[in-house]
Amino acid sequence: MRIWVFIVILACGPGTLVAAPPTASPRDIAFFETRIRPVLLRRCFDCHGPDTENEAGLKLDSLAAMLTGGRSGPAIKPGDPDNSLLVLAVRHDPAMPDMPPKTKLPLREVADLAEWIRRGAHWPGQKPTRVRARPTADPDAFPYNKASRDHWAFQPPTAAALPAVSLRNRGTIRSPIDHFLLSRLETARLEPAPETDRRTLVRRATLDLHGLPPTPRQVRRFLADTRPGAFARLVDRLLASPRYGQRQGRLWLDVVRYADSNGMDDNLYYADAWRYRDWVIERFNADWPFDRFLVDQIAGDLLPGVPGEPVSEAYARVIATGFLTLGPKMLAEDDPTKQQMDIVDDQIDTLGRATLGLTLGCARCHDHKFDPVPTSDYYALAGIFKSTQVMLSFRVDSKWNARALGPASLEQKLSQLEGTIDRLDRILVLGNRQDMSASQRQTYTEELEAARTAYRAIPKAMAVNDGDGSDLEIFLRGNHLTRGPRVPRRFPRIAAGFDQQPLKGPGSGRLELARWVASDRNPLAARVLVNRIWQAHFGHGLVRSPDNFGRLGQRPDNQPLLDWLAVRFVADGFSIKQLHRRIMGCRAYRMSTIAAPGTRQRASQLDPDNRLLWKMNRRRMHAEVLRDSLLALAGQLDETMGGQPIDARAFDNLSSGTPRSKIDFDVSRRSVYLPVLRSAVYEVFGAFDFPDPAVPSGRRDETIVAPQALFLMNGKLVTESTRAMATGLQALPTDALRLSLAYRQVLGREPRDDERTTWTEFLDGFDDPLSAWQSVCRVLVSSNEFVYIE
Amino acid sequence: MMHEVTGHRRQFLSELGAGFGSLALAGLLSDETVAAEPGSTRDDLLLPNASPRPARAKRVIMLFMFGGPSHIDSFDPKPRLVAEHGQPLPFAKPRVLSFPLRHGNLVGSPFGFRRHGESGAAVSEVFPEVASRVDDLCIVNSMHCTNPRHGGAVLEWHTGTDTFIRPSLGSWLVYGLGTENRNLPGYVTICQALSQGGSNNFSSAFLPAACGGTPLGRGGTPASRAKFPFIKPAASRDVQQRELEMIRRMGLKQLELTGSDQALEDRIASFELAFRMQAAAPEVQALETESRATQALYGIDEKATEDFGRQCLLARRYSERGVRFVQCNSNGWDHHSGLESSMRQMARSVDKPIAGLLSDLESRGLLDETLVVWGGEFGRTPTAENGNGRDHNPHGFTMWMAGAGIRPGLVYGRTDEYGYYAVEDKVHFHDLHATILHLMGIDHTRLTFRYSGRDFRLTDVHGDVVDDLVA
Repeated sequence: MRIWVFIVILACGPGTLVAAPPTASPRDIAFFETRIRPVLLRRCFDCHGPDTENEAGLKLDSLAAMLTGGRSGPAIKPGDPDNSLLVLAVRHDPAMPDMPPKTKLPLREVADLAEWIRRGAHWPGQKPTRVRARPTADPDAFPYNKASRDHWAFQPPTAAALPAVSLRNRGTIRSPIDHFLLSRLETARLEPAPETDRRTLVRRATLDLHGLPPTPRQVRRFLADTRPGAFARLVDRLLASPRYGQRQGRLWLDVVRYADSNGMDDNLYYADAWRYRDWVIERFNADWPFDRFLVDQIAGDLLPGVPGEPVSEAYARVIATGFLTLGPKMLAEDDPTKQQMDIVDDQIDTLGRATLGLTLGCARCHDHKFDPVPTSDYYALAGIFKSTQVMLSFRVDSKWNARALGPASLEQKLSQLEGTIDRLDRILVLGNRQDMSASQRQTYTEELEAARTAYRAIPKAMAVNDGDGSDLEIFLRGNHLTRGPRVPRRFPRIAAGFDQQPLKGPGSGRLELARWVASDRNPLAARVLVNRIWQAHFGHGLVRSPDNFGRLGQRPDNQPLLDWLAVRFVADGFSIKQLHRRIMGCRAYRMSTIAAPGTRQRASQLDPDNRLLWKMNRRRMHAEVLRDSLLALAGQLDETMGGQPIDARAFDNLSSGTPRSKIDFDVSRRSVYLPVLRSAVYEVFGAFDFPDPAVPSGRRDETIVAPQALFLMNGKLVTESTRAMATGLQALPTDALRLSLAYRQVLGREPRDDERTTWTEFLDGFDDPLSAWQSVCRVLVSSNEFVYIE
Repeated sequence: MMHEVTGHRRQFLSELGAGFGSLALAGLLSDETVAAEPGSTRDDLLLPNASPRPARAKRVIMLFMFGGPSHIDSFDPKPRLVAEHGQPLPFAKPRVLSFPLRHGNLVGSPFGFRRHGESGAAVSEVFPEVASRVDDLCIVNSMHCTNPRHGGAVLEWHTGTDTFIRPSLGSWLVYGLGTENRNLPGYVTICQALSQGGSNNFSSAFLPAACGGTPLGRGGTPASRAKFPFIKPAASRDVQQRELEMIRRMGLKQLELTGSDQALEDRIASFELAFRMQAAAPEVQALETESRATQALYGIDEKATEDFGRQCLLARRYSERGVRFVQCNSNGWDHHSGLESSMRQMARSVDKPIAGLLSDLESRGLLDETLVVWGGEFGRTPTAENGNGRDHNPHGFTMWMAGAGIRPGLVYGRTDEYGYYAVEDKVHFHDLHATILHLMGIDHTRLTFRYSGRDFRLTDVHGDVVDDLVA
């Protein structure tokens, strides 16, 4: 047998010498001539014969041709029919194209082909043959032209000198940002919109940073502060509140496709994912430097501790790696390699879009068609992630990895329990039910339940462990059955350079990757983050495709500004709060959504998308902002922070059984603390464009569909919160005062006189004052003025 | 070509609301509004004339048998399997198996088969009523897909892929054709299970939200209580009307200050659409307005058939009001053990409702314009599991179509003598998807949407129209 193993290995390499089968017996010869040659001739030669050309580049007219193979590699592996592509193709295995297409060979012929290969693929008359394997992808090749390499995003950002602004506009400037914007507007001969009134400004800033409208008291306080620097003080107050992290943290959770269940098939509960969510919120509130924020998420588990730090910091770094593991997973997957590589793909795709603004996932099956990312770079990264442990096993009943937040003894106890759960579950799921007596089954079930209860009691995080570092082969067309050459682990060359030392350490290389991603040697990460924060304040990023800075993404509307912000951001020690202050401090942030008098028509013709920012963009409230605002207006918002969103156990199936009844959206916690279920998103959120948590999403849609209106007309949350608001208004003595308060609460302003008249008429139509005022409140929260941020 | 949703196109989509198109897209594009529409031209949208044949079907009713009904116990009889009952499978099992340790020997169908109708197609005894309409059916016995697990296979059927989140078949149809009733969604799914992919199975993914399926109840909800979300009025009609008038006035007042803004205007209109939908839906749901005879035709008067009967009758009512794609869902076809009794029970629950739907559509003249599709995410193995059940089998199984544009009375394709693999005239989900789009007048290679830098289609790079299935 040894000799055959030798041959199989050789057959995979380029230019290898293939030994002929030792001796073909007369029986082998007869078998080939009667059972194999006629099948090849009749069934295959139309497309794979001596005189034919086909897309796969495969010929089947000689042993050498079979061993050379086509684009997918050698067609046969003598002695190993189950791993021979020819056999997989005629068996119509899903991993290969069906051959022949549409029709399957008779079972006898399929079996004969397999048997022939099993016996050693004897082909009478064919001697040991030198086989020059087809040239396969060269891992060092970089098949991209200069234009794609010179793409703007791959050049390091530089801070340009502030552009000149005419004397006329100079007096309006509030920060360097305005130089960049005003100079462009001047070139286009467009007038920027005037600054908006202070009421609008306090509402805009509060909704941006807290995701809640300002209370009448907050508005009063800001309006009363007439000293210089009032707005900066408002921004500081807002940034200091824990509500800030709940809002901006939620936007990061969009980007990292956060959810509390696996989705895809059965929806199993990620019972510990919430710790990652809480970590994100806490770090935003603490203004944790963004470079550390990224390193923690990619490789926090590998970072050394700081002497004297509290133990909770070590736990926090482990929790942060939830970033890598809380993606969607097809858990009931029968092909273990596909399962593992799908998880790796999710990690690469998320890393690429979230931190680099690159769609690296495209290079799983082919060299990226537009950006300079060949498959060799994809599999270089895949090697890093495949060397990272995310799952306990790869099976139909596989379980994800967790790490105890406690001493080593607890870690040990956890892994024992994981072993027990894994073993018992496998027995119960896969064991032949017939072979198990009822009492045996009961014993196993009780043991399993006890283990799961003990597992639940351990404080732990969904997190990764580092594995042994090993390189990966390129999977041709993403198919793990067709392997190309092995590539060293390294970072995408277009961004990290062509002279990298391959990662050779004993571990995965994740920490090195994290440090590169978060460094100023990486031209992308700072720009991508700065752009996300800009988008949170202006509705659009300076690059309008926040997750794609590649050639198919949009070009920056103002690259000098983007670069200047990125350079400043790094100089500020990656402080995100400082970035908010910087952006909100400019004049442009204070612009009205209404164009300057006389410029509207020209501006909408010249720049209909408002890329030059001649006015502020009007934005619709996100789903959570709407829900939280309704609860806040009703005085019912529960601002308790953190904690597990569903009272159930890890691996519980959330789409069936008791756990389903424990999923409760009718609570008054802030929306960021509601469960996020993949493939079963809360219907109110679903109606208002909550992003699909299966994929990273840097930008929310703003669709306008009827279910949104139906929710405001009939939704339980709206009915109850407007009822509570109306009840509160009853405490006031007159309708005039009630209307004032309702307007101040909902819209942050007093009603105008004409509005008062209209509402008086409206109220006349009701007998019951409570119902009447509920209707008033429902109209106000349904109005465009409430739902859109001016 | 890229479909930027701009200008009139965007406005159209927002009017589509939950799928409330004021006009079917085909209609919209064929009238004079096209000329005035910037940014999108007739060429870049799919069109009836982009297809070699005109549309045969206007609407689809999908009867989805969730769990994977056994083809060898319903429409694909295997005498040899019966003869070799208890013997080992005489050829290689698939490389990837659902439950490899539980695979037993061959097990023949416990049910009798008889040939029916002029076509002489064989149908199992568990579907006597459907058998009586067998000449309406175009039975495909050579279906196959790749994923042997529910989650993956259900997604493959609904969206064409088990790897990514993609728009579903119904969403593509609404995107391509719009809807014929501005007061109702274009795509409705009744009592669909939220497990195994859940809403991903009826989501619009990257297509405009209005193309997504609107769920009417969900798996486990009795059909009698299946409603659209937020549809029940929270206030009297009179009060709601006054509120809407105020919302409109406030909105218009604001527009005076801001100047015209498409989003603000669309949003005002969306309340009016919602109000109309709220009024229209209860009327469609009012099955009690149907005659006793009609209700009995669907089996609503019998306990066993009541639930699916209601679904089918709802489907007819939504469909005849112009809803482009309606899906009925029968949950519980995953017969790993106790196949004989479970299969009898499940078949009984859908048999009469399905036959009732076909004859009702026919008598109303709707069968000529409605395509009915029946099937599950895969079939089942000829080998035993747990002694008296069958495991998942994506390698060969049966689906059938009836109604508009198909060749009735046809039995197409073949599995091997045991029913494990499709072996002749194989039809992949992609091929059936291509065929369904074709019947709706759409070329599946031209119905594309640009997302994330490339053009996507329902069939990705696959799929061939199966001409033999088309009349």
